Amino acid sequence: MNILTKLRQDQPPLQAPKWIVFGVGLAVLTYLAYSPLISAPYINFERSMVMIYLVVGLGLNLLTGYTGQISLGHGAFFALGAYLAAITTGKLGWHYAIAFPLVAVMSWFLGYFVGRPALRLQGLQLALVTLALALVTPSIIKRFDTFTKGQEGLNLNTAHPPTWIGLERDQWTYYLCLLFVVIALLLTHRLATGRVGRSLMAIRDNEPVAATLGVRAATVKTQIFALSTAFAGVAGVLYAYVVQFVAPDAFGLTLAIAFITLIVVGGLGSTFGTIFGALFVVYVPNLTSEISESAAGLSYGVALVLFMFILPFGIISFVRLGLTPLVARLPKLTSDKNN
Amino acid sequence: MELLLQQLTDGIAWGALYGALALSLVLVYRASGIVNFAQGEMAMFSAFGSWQFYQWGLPLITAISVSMALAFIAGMLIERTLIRPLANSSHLTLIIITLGIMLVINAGAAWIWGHDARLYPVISEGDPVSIWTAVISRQALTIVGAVVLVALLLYVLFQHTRTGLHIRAAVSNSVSARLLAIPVNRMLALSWGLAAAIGALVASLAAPQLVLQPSMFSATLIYAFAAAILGGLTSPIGALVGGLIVGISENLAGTYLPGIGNDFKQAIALAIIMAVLFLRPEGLFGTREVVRV
Amino acid sequence: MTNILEVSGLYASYGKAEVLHDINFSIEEGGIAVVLGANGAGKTTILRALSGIVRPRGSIIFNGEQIVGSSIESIAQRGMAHVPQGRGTFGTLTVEENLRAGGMKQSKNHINSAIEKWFDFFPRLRERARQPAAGLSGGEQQMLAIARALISEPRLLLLDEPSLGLAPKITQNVFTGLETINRDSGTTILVVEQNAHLALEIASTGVVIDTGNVVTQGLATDLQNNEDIRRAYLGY
Repeated sequence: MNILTKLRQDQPPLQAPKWIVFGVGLAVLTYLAYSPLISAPYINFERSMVMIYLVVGLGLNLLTGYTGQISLGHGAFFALGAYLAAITTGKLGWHYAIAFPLVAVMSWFLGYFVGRPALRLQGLQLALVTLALALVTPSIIKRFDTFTKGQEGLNLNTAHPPTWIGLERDQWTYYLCLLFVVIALLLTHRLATGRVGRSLMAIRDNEPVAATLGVRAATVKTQIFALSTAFAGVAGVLYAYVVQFVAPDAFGLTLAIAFITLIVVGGLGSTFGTIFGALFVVYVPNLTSEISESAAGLSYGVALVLFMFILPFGIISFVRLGLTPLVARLPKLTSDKNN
Repeated sequence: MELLLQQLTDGIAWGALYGALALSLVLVYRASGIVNFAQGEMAMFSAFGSWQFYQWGLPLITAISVSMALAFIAGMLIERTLIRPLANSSHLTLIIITLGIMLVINAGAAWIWGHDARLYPVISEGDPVSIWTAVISRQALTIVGAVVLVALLLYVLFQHTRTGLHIRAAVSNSVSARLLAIPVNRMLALSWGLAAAIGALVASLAAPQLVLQPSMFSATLIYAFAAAILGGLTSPIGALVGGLIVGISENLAGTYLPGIGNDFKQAIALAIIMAVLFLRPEGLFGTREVVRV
Repeated sequence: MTNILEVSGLYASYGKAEVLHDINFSIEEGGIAVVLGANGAGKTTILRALSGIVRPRGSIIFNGEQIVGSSIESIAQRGMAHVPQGRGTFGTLTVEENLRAGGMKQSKNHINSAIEKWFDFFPRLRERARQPAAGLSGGEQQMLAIARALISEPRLLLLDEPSLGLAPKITQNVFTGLETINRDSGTTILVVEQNAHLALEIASTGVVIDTGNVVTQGLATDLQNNEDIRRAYLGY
């Protein structure tokens, strides 16, 4: 079997021994925690954006990876979070921390409300409805221009670090993003390995059969949808705090496609793949903008098509293919051998 | 009353455009079972193509015809190289591919011609035409006429020619068709080619109004989707009727419904899409599909 | 009498599951042959391997030509018509359009006279000529599918379970029709049937399949008289 065929197959997750996982995770976390202190603001900005996309991607992965449904409309929830953050800290003058739980809850409920009927649709239909939502989001934002100031956009001047910490704002928002990435990862991991995760797999693989086994598919799927929109909303808040400016056109089709590219490139359904996806989505436009303004769109598009042909399971399948033989040689602790 | 008539006339003109794009969507859906999200961008690229040929000296109608022919070939090629190899994949995969194609074509157009708007020549000079108290530009009249002509030609093709019969057979049951020695793959490719050519035609005719630029169809795309879904993705007649309904309701809503300004008219399209998919997914003229366990 | 079909060493799989193992049989030109066996024995797969829907390993000589590996369309063009299980009519096309679709290569006049001939043979179809095929009853759809397959005047007609879902009387009509067709036009017919009793009445030769293997083959009369075979594999 040549390498192309292998890449087109779903690779099983790396069965890395626990000490490696902890070790690598700790090293990465330490690096991430320390690096903003020594990096220039624009680097912190880029990495913050990666983390913001990562949060969205984790949510979308829950949805697409476990229910097989694609949503192109999460940009609307992202926009909701961003604008709520802008309005509460701006016009209303509230503390910036309030936006997080507020948006999380609002997005969750709105997502549940939308998701309940939406998930009864079949794959293509849901994609169409959510695409329509993505196309219309900027004009919805402009419609409410009394709050959103329409095309003009809203400026933020918030998320200042507490004075006793002695950090710059770009560093502080970076840490906020890091905090929520960790929360998101923990949530995702708990879900994936718990009872809900197993229900989700059952639903994805064969919904009618899962139903006969007592899995309340509709409820579980809607909860997952709601959770994914909550992730998107919170990511939107982070976005507003990092960029300090929101405007309607940033939340339309381009954003929706960035989200999809994220999870496709990373690997649908893979948590770690999403990290690669987020890196791709942030850094590729940066790199390609040297070449040409439209190069970002071109690279997204080519990536989407190429990945579907060569790496339908995302970069993570490539990584797994490469690392699996290596990982197999690592010494295991006795606790792992029982896995 | 005069305002209503004018709105209706505008609605019909726009409706023809939406209907034609929706027709392309339906042709592809019937052939391949997917919605080609790239249809609008393909049409936009063809409009640029015809503009370019015109810049190089070809008479406008020739330029448009050449662009249509190239679009036809391109449509067939896209089906052959990017869609057919993955025909057995999930819908998700094919949706993502068409999104990718959409991006590539859009970026390609921007790379070749830039983001600036270009002036596109009208086909027929002259004063707008009066219908009672309503006024319609000649160009809009041309669009309506072209769409009607396309509809008639397609009707003749599908109902009265062997090729059309074979396309319909291939779409209805591809295995049975193949067992009758009908070259199903070629019929699918033809459908994509036709869809692309239709897109090229209406895009070239609508370019003067919509202004030729890569983002030309970004606002219109959703109306085309709404039209196709409203009509029923499997019905060409539905596409045209859907286009008319969407065009007219969009215009009427913009004028008569409070709170819906020009910008927010798109929400009407969203509302239509949601209403159809939730209440009657097969649209007005489509056929229901059965889910097999 | 020449053999219109010679199958040897035929293997076929769906994915990793091998469904046909070393199938060997031949069909004489001009007769009606029947493939019998229980549900899931692999009868349908044999037809699909013949017409190219499934790509088998081994050898299939049709009309003196090796056809393993050929595309469905090219096999159909060489004169093998296959009416699949469930009829496979074009539901949204009218009865007449269905028939017309059967004449891929023929001239318009040729097709028109062929359609006329089949309307004479199956008057029910003439009555419903303008109706969408999806609205026809099971028996009518079966007649339509058979007629459509025969428009192009194939040399070999493959029929997969024509009695499926049909009332006994209708089935009888279908089988009588097959007999007449075979007699009048000399088209070789290969029928896959679960209803062995009926099928053996009209057939001249038969092949019995069990879990992907050929159990026995021979004259229909011999199979009818062989009690062991009948009880073990044919259900009566």
